Amino acid sequence: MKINSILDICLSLIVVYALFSILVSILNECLSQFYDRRSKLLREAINRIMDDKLNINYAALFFNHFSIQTITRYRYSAGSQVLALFGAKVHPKEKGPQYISSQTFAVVLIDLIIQQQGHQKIGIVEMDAQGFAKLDASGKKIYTLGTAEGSEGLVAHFAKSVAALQPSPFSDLLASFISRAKNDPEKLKNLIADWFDTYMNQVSGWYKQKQRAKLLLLGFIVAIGLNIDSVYLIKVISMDDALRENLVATAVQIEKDTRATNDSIRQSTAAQIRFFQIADSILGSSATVSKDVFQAKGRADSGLPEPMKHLEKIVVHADSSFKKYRSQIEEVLGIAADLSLPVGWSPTTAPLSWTSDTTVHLKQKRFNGSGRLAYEQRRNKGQDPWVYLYYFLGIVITAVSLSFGAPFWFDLLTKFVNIRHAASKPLEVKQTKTN
Amino acid sequence: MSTAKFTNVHLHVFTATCVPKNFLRILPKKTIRKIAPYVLNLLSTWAGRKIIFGLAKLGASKDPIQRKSVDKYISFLNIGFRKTQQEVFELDYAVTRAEDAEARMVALTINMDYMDEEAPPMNYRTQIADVKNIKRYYPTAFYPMYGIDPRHLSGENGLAILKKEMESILVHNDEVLPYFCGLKLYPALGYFPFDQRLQLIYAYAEKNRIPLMSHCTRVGSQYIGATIESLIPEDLSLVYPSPLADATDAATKLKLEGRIKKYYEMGWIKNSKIGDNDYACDLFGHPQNYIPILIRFPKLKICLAHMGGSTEIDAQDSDASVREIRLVADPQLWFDRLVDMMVQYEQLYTDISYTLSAFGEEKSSVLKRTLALMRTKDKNGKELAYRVLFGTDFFMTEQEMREAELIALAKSKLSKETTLEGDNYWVLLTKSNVRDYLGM
Repeated sequence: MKINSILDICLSLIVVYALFSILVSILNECLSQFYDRRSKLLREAINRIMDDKLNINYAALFFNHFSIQTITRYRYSAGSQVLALFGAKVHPKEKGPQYISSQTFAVVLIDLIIQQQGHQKIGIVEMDAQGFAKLDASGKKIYTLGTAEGSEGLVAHFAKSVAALQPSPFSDLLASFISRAKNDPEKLKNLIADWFDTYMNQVSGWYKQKQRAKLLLLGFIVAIGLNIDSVYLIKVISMDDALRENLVATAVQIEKDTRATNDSIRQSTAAQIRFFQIADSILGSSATVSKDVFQAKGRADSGLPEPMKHLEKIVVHADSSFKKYRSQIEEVLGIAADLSLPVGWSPTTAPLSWTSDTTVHLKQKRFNGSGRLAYEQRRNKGQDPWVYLYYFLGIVITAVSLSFGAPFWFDLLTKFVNIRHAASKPLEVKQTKTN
Repeated sequence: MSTAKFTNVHLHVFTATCVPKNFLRILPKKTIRKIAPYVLNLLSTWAGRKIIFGLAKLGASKDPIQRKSVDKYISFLNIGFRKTQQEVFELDYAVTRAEDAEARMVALTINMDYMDEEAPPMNYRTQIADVKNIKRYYPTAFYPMYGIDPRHLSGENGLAILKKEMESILVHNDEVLPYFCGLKLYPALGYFPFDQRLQLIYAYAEKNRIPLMSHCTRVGSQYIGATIESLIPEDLSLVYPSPLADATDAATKLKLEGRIKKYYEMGWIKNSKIGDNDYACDLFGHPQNYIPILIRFPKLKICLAHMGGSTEIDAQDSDASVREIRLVADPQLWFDRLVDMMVQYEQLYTDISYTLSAFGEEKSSVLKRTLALMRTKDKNGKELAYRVLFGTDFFMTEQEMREAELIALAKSKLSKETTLEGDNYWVLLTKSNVRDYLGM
């Protein structure tokens, strides 16, 4: 087999994985939103850094702070709305913030420390001759007020408050910010904000790690749910030239579009679907292509291959609602149908055909040859134990592959298209020389 | 004297984050004690709460005493799972303001860091910091008390921490308002109120006219850890303050030692992995434990809340376990003991919180006995009605009765009664007595 053919098969497979990885991403996003995973992780992460065991659990106070409360959402779940129809007393569910900017974090942290330690005045009870608290004519205790708080600047005030804390790793860290801020409140805020940003980068790493097992499970759900057998896919792609050429052309078109976009756009599920739709619309008209995409196509035809601004508009509102998730799933399935991918359940194909009466004739026939039809007939007949093993293996490969996520497959797609370009250039040169 | 303001002297604002993960071990059910953290997790969700409440009510439906107990905890949990202490306070404040726009609410903080081996997610310092914020927002309505525990505040160091808190003040409209108006004890969480480690604090409180409020019933929250034996020494001298040349003190110590010995003999004090400490924890909150303090600090105002609890007012209200304790080791009702002590010690107060929910029950003798207590004269011939305070024990009482109903019930029962000097009970309990007790 030629190197280009191998590359084409790989590229085709990558396109399939990229497409169905989008589906896994959508399902994962949907579940994350339903279970409020992001805000829970944010709360856990903030609790980890702000629970000063030797002083105060500032995390608890942090989430009660007015600035944070104002970005906390409350909503009635679908279940509680149904219960409310039957007269049940329901309460809105708190949905904590999914994101807190580092500047907000810094401001709230400074505020909390100052509030707890710096805003307190001291009142010492005056004593009578017997050593008991002296009372005034109305029976109230008489206080001598301690030194009132000074009108020092923010950093000095913060420093005073931190100094009042019991030494702890947390208070030591705050003290190091103070010494580095050199009396500049903006610098103090930025130092805290930078620390928070660095920490949150770590947190997003943990989040991704936590997602791995979930993505694998979703990979299996999609692989089994759509009956995506990788072994079968490889075989069919290698045997079906038309399918392979279509998938390779899609890959090339996607690479062309993604090259012109920035990373953050490329990571978005909505943008990834649009890349497929644009490729689909350019390579052949399809029912799934929306008006937006036609506009994008127009730009592509007029020499603007990157529908950047247009995509940005779509991406902003795309990843946030359940309705969108549903329409995105429909779009992905539509693209899969347009690409005529050999996936899905049917009583005449494996594994249903192995038990189905409608294919009983297959079981009596002997098949020879090496074409796609002969291979499919052998597979669907299912009398060879290797067929079962390959099917099982194919599903596992698909599930694992889909769990890598769409960004991984899009990156790989770009690399393979480039390799393919590089491999085909010497061939073209050779052909030119021959001519 | 200043004009007395309507005051609810007994309420709670802490939330579920202020309690340890095994908190539900306070429930008298072994099965729940074994799975307490999981139940608490489940209860933290709305749907989980609904399911558990339904099952708990079903399980306890045959036994009215158990049902009452389940209801109490359900009510506690329903409000306790509010997000912030401020929200809990505002719930009660909205109701109490309807009674008096200038109402004052005394919120009792409780240190639950030592209730179990592991501290709660919101440790006590954080609870206090949060409570101080409420005080800043409601300076003339919110009057918290600072919870003390010898495992947290002990000796000179403990006193220094406490002094810092008690001396922190707000100035509102030229009026000096301390953040904390008193000290709160909850001995059932695992310590004796007479603990020698608290003596310096009591001396400070007495000199500074800071009142003390203590929980005084058999049931309620309790120590749920696994090492109850280490908290109750058979040799009481280990925790008892330095002996005085006082016959009552010596006799009290002997009685307390005798009771502890009896409890050990009966096997009621035994380390339990699931916090099965119900009998043992009664020893901590016993009214007799306050005699050593009353003797040593004669000017320290102490309020033993709940009048001992309804099970100790009306013997008929007690369950089998309490009847067993009474038969074997502690024959006198706590209420009767409290009356005797109030007659003897003029700095001793009580409040009608929680117990007042039984005022409307026809079969209960709680109201009758409470009125009898108020008519009793102390050693100076003054009626005890001058040392009874009004409190509701919000939010523990929510399931018994709504806060507004409780206030209305107390008002209807008490406003008809007067002292021999003609002072109305309702006014005394809600205003004058509280002013005398709090000194404000």
